[in-house]
Amino acid sequence: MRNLPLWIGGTMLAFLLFVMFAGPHLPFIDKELTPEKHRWNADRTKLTMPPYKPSEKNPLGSDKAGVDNLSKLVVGAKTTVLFVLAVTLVRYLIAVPLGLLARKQKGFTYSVVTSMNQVFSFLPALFFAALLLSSPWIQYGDYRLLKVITILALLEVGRAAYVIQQQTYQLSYEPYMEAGTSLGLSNKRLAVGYYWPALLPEVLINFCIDVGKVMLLVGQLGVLSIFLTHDWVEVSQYTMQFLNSSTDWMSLLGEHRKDIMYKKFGFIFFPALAIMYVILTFNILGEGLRRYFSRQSRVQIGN
Amino acid sequence: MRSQIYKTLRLSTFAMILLVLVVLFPRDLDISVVGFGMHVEYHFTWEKYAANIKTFFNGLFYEQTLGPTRFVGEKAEVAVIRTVGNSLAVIVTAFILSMGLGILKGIFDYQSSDRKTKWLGGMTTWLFQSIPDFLFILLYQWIAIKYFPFIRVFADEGWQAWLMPSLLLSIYPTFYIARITSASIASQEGMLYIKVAQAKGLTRTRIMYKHVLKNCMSTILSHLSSLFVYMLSNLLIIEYFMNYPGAADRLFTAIDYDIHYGAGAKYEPGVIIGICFCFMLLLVAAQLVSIISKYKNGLR
Repeated sequence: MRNLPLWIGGTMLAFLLFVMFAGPHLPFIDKELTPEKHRWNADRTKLTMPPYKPSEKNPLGSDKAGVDNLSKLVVGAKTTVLFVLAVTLVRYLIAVPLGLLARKQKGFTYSVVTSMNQVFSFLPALFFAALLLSSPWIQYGDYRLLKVITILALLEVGRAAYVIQQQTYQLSYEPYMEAGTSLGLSNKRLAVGYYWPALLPEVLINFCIDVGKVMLLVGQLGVLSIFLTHDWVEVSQYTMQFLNSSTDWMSLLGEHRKDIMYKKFGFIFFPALAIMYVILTFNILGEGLRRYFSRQSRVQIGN
Repeated sequence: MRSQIYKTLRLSTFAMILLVLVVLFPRDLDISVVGFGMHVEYHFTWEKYAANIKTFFNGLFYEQTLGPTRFVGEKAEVAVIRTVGNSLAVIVTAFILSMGLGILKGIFDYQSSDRKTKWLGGMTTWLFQSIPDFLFILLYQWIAIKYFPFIRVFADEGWQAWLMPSLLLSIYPTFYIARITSASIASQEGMLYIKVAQAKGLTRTRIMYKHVLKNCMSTILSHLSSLFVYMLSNLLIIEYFMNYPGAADRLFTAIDYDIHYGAGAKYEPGVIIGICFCFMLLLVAAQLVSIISKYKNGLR
């Protein structure tokens, strides 16, 4: 138990994974999210209409259609977390090769990495994301989810690649790296066998921290009602509207935001808290991994 | 240092051009009634794109205007100047506030790092940084509406409209500055000049504030640009929630994201470009301060 953050982070992650994959199958969770239009009391004398207040049946109450809020939250966990992980994964799949290619701190890739890092630092990612995701090319085209993932990943790929580039540059001056080079190993072999194992700890730590950042960004987008997946349907005569088609936490935030105007705080805190839980989990996990790896390298030096 | 400054200026110009090109990308939809339903198509043509760019630069160079806004009779530049002024009031107040409080908290964190109150220092800084900004605002609004009804939560003018967003905006930077301050004070530990000052019999407080802090300032200032980026994205959420007539909220309004057609007809490229330009100026200034203080730091 010497590495407390790793244990706490691991436990929190385990709980998150449990909710994501086993949560929908729990007995008190309504996996189908069926709306309950009305509800009688025990002797059928009083009829209640949704939204229902928090009760034994609906621990967090229900929405206007009578769908249990807790179920919505639990069912949405998988989509949300998988989406955030996908964005971060795509980001690192692009950033790691870029960082490796730019290891000499000069040349074309290096200038691409540094300019991307700097250009996107002149405006917050949230502004860029709002500007790009609202363009009709993405709103109406096919494969919206894929485009959204790519754009969100690309927004900060420069920053991630720059961090990796700095590390590879430092690594390239290590004696064993020079040994590898003088052995005449191919670039591919150097990258896979020499750079990657040394990079892996830092990449893992940064990955965890980036998951938190992506989660925050996506949450902010949800607050602004920019949903990740939606359908364009007719809600009234000749009136079309984008209706959110997924149950992720971001859309819950967006839907319930106007509740505060009617002083109806209640459910909106739960998706926000859930987002905070994810950010916290990955931040603690990142800190735990940092301690774990730094201890490991100290042990290696000690031997 | 000079080459770095030039590089920043060059890249910011490039970023601005890129932004203008993205903003002027055509967004108009072809909406038609087909049968008994609405039908929307989006076609990109280079002609439309070129026309957009031409109109914008024509207006900019020949008529010295950024173009119209959604309100009849209001020019984009007027809207930009008004809203950026409102936002700057909040940003500057929040920045001054967080600098003061953050440095004090940093000193407290450092001095209490060997006491029992240690958890108050590092832990709180860390925990607060994991809380999403919208959760903070929600909590504040909930508490204010429920228990302090005399606070005008959605005020859009007067001192309440300005003070509350500033306070909320300063929360994260305070913790960020506190972390950097305590780390950089810790790195000064055991330096010769401190020993000399101690040998001269100066008090601990005097050494801390007159000597150590002066040396830490350049490290703190070198983080200015990342701090400002965060503050700006925080600003959007705060203005959006608080109904504050600031630039970030106006920017989002100008994007005109609506739930009916996604890309609305009231899209205002002039306002977006103007506000982004002002924000970019702010960030370039912050980056220049960062570069200069990093350079000074290196000299030492």
